[in-house]
Amino acid sequence: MESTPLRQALHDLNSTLQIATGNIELLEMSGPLNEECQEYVTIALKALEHAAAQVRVLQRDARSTD
Amino acid sequence: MNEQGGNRVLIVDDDPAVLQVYGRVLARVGHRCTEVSDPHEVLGFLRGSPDYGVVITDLNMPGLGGVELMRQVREQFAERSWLQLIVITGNASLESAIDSLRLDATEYLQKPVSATDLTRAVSRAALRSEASRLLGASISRSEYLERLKEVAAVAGQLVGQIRGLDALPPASAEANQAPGTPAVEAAAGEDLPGGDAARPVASKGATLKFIWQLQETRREVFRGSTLPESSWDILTELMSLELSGKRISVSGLCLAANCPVTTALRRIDELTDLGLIVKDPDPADARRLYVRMTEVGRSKMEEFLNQVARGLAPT
Repeated sequence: MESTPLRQALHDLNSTLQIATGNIELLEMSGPLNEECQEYVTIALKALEHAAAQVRVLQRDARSTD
Repeated sequence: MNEQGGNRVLIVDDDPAVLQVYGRVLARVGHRCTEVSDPHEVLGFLRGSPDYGVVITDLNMPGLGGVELMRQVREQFAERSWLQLIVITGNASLESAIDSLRLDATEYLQKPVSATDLTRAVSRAALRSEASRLLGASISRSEYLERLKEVAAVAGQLVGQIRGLDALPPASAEANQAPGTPAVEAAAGEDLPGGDAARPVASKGATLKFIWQLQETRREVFRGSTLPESSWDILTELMSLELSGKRISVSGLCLAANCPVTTALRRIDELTDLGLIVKDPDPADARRLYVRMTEVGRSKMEEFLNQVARGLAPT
């Protein structure tokens, strides 16, 4: 399947989300966080999860308009 | 050292930051990883070492896409049946998923993948790879004879147990048993296959009751975890080996589990997740993993055995 600029951009966006999610999870794994930090981490991960879901919707739309 | 599987992991992604994340996450759980940002280099790394058991690849990469890369790997390393391919893509599609399945990819994941999902997928693939290596490996004549002896010993035990069952009194005798008759009785005057005519034999009813008690004790001790029979076979085998001071590899345990290897591997994973057993790498051979009981697993089995022993003790 040919990669359009939109598809490529969404693919790159997923990679960026992967880097953010992975590094936050590594931060979590690197040692116990205090309660406040843990709360921020949880919120950040949820936000990234939400962003990933939005990207999937855009990818579906991009496929259906091809 | 790889604690999850004896195989090395090759990660391919054109984005170095993504590579770094995967590598660090997998290294935290003990996988030995090689990170490659140019997909053209993958075949060279594989040619250089047969230790690679798992290849993780992106699909959208400039110059050489993931599907084409997997095709080349399968073509050029057709003899390496143990090579497991994992796809992680930021642009999932039905077409690429079908292509990946055709090339026998074991996992197809969508970016961003969580650390938990990544480590689980790679651990599963590493175990599959190890099993595939072991099943594909030819065994020496001495090892073959050793295994044959073990099978003969088990067969001998089974014959003894079957003879013991034959020695139980006939059903009619039990039906005529007067109320209050002791459950354990003598097989009067009848020669037992073992030659011990005076040996007391339990009635079928008492035997059934004992089996139910065993099952009840098992449920009680392992409360909260419903163990399938194959998991139970794995635990009893490990306990028996611990008592005799022996150790066993993942592949050996798969043979002892009395079920297909894939099921046995799944059971081993489940028991590991329950914290009852743990896998240790063999320092002498990175491709081999030994399995042993954890403190929790051992204490539960000891509790079970103690309860059963109390039930067997004469009152």
